[in-house]
This record gives sequence, structure tokens and C-alpha cells, in this order.
Amino acid sequence: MTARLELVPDDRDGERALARLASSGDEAAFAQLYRAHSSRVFALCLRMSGSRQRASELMQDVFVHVWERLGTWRGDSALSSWIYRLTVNLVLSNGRGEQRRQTHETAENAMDEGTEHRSSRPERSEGSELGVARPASVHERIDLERAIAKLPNGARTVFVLHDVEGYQHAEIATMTGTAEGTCRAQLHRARKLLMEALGER
Amino acid sequence: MNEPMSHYDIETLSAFADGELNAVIAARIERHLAECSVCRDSLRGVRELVAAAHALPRDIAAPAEAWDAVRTRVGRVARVARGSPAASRRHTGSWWRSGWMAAAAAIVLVAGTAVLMPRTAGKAKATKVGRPAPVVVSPVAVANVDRSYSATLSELRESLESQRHALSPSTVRIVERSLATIDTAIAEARSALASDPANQALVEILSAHYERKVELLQRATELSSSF
Amino acid sequence: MRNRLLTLTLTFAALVPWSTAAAQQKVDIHRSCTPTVSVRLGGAMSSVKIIAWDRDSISLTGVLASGSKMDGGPYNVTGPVTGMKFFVEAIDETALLGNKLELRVPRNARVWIKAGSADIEASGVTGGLDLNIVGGSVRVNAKPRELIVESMDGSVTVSGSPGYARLKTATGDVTLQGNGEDVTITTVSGAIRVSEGTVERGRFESVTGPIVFTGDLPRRGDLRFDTHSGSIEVRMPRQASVEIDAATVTGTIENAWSNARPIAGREGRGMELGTSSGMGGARVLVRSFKGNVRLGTK
Repeated sequence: MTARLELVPDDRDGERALARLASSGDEAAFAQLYRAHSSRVFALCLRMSGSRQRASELMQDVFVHVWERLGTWRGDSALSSWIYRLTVNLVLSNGRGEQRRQTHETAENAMDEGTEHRSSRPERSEGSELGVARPASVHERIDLERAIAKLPNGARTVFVLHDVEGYQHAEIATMTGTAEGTCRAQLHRARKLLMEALGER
Repeated sequence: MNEPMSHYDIETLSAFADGELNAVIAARIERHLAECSVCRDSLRGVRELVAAAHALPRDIAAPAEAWDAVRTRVGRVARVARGSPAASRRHTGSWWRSGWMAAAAAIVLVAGTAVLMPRTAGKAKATKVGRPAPVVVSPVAVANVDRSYSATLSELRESLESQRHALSPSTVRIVERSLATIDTAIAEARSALASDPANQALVEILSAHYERKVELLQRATELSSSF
Repeated sequence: MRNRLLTLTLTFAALVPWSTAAAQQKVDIHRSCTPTVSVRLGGAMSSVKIIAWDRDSISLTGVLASGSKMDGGPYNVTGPVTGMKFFVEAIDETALLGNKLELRVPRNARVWIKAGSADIEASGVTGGLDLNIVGGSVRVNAKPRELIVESMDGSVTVSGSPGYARLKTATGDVTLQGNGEDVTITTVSGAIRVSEGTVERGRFESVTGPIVFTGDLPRRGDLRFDTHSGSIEVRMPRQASVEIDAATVTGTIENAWSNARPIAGREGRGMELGTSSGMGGARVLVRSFKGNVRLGTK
């Protein structure tokens, strides 16, 4: 049995020790890393890919990469940032290589590709099943998630990274290999499409 | 009231909201906003959208079986790295033999399937689960699984109740009947897991039932909430 | 916002103006559109027929019961329509029954329907279909690239070859006849029947409903069956090159596909079976809590 290490978010030394153990092949330590980061990684993959199935596959790739490359983590940034950055890069590079697949998979939610309205399934209340106005917040979250999933790839990526994850345009530009101006334009487009989808305009 | 006839597009207002426009244009937009309720609404909409996006949960529990797959792949990578012979073919018996795997899966579950949990809740949970993998799943862990779903489920339940009047009685009956079916399955899986706590398959089955319940409730709330 | 949606002037003509009770309104809308137009239609309708045709135009025709209202229109005013959205309101359940529409769209269109209880039929569409009902039925006879059907009680029947399909019900039965590249069927208590084709990647899940699969497996096929108490029957060609892994917690497993014998499961409960033939290129995974599993040949 391995030494028992507690993983506390700001505990850089603990993280380093755990990462060392995991990179030396300790599965229990690796399991602990997985537990600490998988739900965040999954959320990122899910929102960036727009498909649960795809997200699950991507997340698996991420953790295999983490396992392989843990030794290269210098410990100068938080392990979490390192993992999330790796996640973003992996999702992005995957998206470029898998056009065919994407057209199918993102279609899990996306039906309205290429048109300028791109409404999501849950549309603002023209009426409910029996024409009653829509209520509150749980739905709005579900609606928003679904609408995000239906955005075109570029707009979705930037929206998720900027407005959900809180990355800056400069960082996003570096990660996606595009100009900052393009990122900004994509973000505003994404917001516009989302407003339309959610029936705000 | 004389409302202006032309309006700024959402993209421009979005750039305005982010403070990206030069002073001259920004000033022009501000003057326009003072007179135009349509654009004020749009700008408010943009800000609400950004706030809602920021408030989305950061943690969404990965499917329980993903860990199994990761572990298998990592195991293969490790073996190749050490130059040992290729992995022998997985035989069926291994499905639920590994107590370690069961434990890990259970804890992954505890980490929350809170698709709808607010960000803070997700964070609190993520830090709470930093316990090392025990060899055997304790009934306490199983109870934790229940608990992690219960918040999501009761939130959805509540939301469904609040709009029950918007659903036809026959729809309510169908939903209730299906929920009852799933609940029976959950009860059976739980009691089986209680008497065989290290059974990985049962952990997966239980989590799958909970996922189904969440999904059904989500669909039911969408029926009444949206076109 | 709804009031800012461009509202198309609809021609509602009373068919039988003198009729005392059930005066109907005729719907007759025609517009030229882009080949990939997106059409959304929702609300109180008892029947919707979606028919793809080889024209770049949309037609929405049919009747609405007296008192029913239809609202909506195209997204853009100039040029061919890129998207249209309509919503139908009925004053009561009886009026709902009188609302029947037929929608003709270009083959590559994407069509989205949401209705409470309705019979929806779609044919010929190769673009996308996203169909939501509570009760009634959905019948799709087409090869859509993407097919999403969500129903509670309504049955779902798909013939043709959807590329990507996600079919979900609560109590309704789901039947797929034909091929599928990537298919997921989920139900609580409905029956799942898949036959007459090849599914490359399939996920079939129910709680109490039975699953019957009769089909071919492509070389890299990947099928997964899950139930709680529903029985699972998988019939494949005897010469299929496949690796099968089946297990139950308390249910039985019967293998008539190969000579392999199931063994008792963990602590003597349930059963497990691992068997393969050929190079084992395809993979079939079967899991049930207490349902009985049967493997057979087709």
C-alpha cells in the first residue's frame, strides 16, 4: 500500500509528492489524481466537444496523457492548471483531426448548423406543453448548456474558454493558434447566437 | 416616447460590455443606450448571459466506467513502457473482481454527478473526496453515492413539482410510473451492493440507474419548460 | 424576443364558414429556402407529416381546429429562407386533435418538432431530424445524418439507415430496422427491437424492457446491451468474428451461439460468459442485473 497523501487544492508540495508517486507508476496515487480532477476535466471536455460520448473518450485520452507526461510537470504552476491546459490542447488538436466524427457527434445536440439563428431545443417560452410560461433557474442552466453544445465549433471553444472557464483572450489565442481579434469576434458571435437560441433576441 | 428606429447588433453590444471599443464609439453607444430601451435590454441580456455562463458548474462527474477505461489503458501503457509482454486478454471474470477498482469507481461517483450543482457545491465536493482508495467499498461510501445524487435529484424533483400543472395528467402518470420503475431498480441494486460491497458491477449498475433517473427528470422538466 | 420575430402573414381561411361547431382553418404556406434550411415546429398538434422533396422550398400545409392559433415565420426577410419557426396553440385537447400539418422540406433540411402527444411521420430527409413527443408515435423512414427522437410514452419506429441516432423513451417501444453507424437507444420500460441491418456502434439500455437484437456485426463493431430486469436476446450470424462478454448479477445466461458454457458468477450468483470466434474483431458486451440473457444465431 502506498503512503497516504491528502490532496488539498493549494498544497503544492502534496501535489508534487503525489505526482512523483504517480509518475513512478503508483496506480493508487494516479487514482487519487483522477478523483481530484476528473469531474473538472470532464466538464471541460463536455462543453468543448458538445457531446457526452465524445467527452468521455477525450477525458480518457487526457488522463492517459497525464499519466505519460506527469514527469514533465515542473511544479511551477498548479497541477490543476497544467492538467486543464493539457485538456484544452488535446480537445483542440482532436477537433482539428476529426471532422467527420465531429459532424456526427456534436449533432447529438446540434441541429441548426450554418444558419444564423441556431436556436437550441429548449427555446424561450413560446409556451410549454400546454402553453404555460416557463419557470426558473434549473431549466435555464440546462437550456444554456444545450445551447452552448449547439454553437459552431470555433464560437463554442472561445465562449467556453472565456466566459465559462475564465481564460483571457491572449491565452485563448495562443492555445487555439488564432489572432486575438479573431477570438474576440468569435466570442461576440457566440454570445449573439446564444442570445438568439435562448430567445433573448 | 421616441424610441430610435435602428439598433446596435449584439456583437457590438457584447464588445461594448467587455470594454473593447474605443472611446468615441463607446460614447456614441452610451448616448444611444440612454434613449433606446431595446438596446438596453440587449445589453442587459448580454451581461446576464455572461453571468450565467460564469455560474455554470465547473465540475460534472465523468461516467463511472471512464475510470475503468483509463486504468486499462494506463496499465497497457505502463506494461509497454516496462517492456513486459503485452497484456493478456481481459477475461470476463475480471469484470467485478477488483476491489480496488470498485473502490475507485465508488469514489469517482461520490465526486458527484452534479450536472446541475452550482459551482460552489461542486468545489466543496471535489475537495472532500481526497481520501485514498480503500480496498473495500464501505456501506458508507455507498450512502455517499446516494447523497451525491440526492441533491441533483431533489432539485430536479422540486422543479418538476413546481410546474406539474403545466403537464397533462397523462404525462405526469407516465413520468411517475417510469420514475417508480427506476426507483425499484435502484433499491434492488442498492441492497445487492450492501451485501456485496466490493462488487464493481453493482456500483456501475447503481450509478447507471441514478443517471437514468436524472435524465428522465431532466426530460420531464423540459417538457413543460420549453418550446 | 417573440414579438420581434418576423411574423409571416398566414392565410387562415375558413374552410366551412357556415359550419356551426368545428370551423377549421387552412394552413398554406410556401417559401423558397436554402437547401439546408432549418425548420422548427412546436406546440399543440396531433399529426405532423414531414416529407422531403427535391426542391429548394418549404411548404407547410394542413388544418387547424377552430380556436387554434399559429404564430411564427422565417428568420430572414430577404432572399431564400434559412430558417423558419412556428408555434401552434390550441384552446383545449379537442382542438389539439384537429391540428394536422404536413411539412415539405428539401432533403438536406434540418427539422425540429416538439409536440405533446402527436403522431409524427418523417420520410426522405437526409439532413437532421430532432423529434420530441410525449405520447403518440414517431415513424421515421429515411436516412438522416442525424436523428434524435425523444418520447415518453410514444412508440418510435425507425426504418432506414440513420448515421447517428439517439432514440429515447420512458415507456414507449423502440424499433430500429436497418443499418446504423452510431446508435444509442435508451428506455425505461419500453421494448427495444433492432433488426435487419448492421450497427457499427450500438448502445442499447433499458431498465425493465426487453431487448432483442438480430443483426450483423461489422469487423470493428462495438455493441453494448444493458438492462436491469429486462431480458436480452442477441442473435448474430454464427460465423461473425466477435468477442462476447456477458454477465448478470442474478439472471441466467443461455448460449446457443457458440459451444462455450456460461459459468457461475461471483459468490455463485448470476452468470458469466466469455466467448469469441474468428479473430474477434467486433465486441459485444452484455450486462444485466436480473434479466435473462440469450445468445443465438440468426
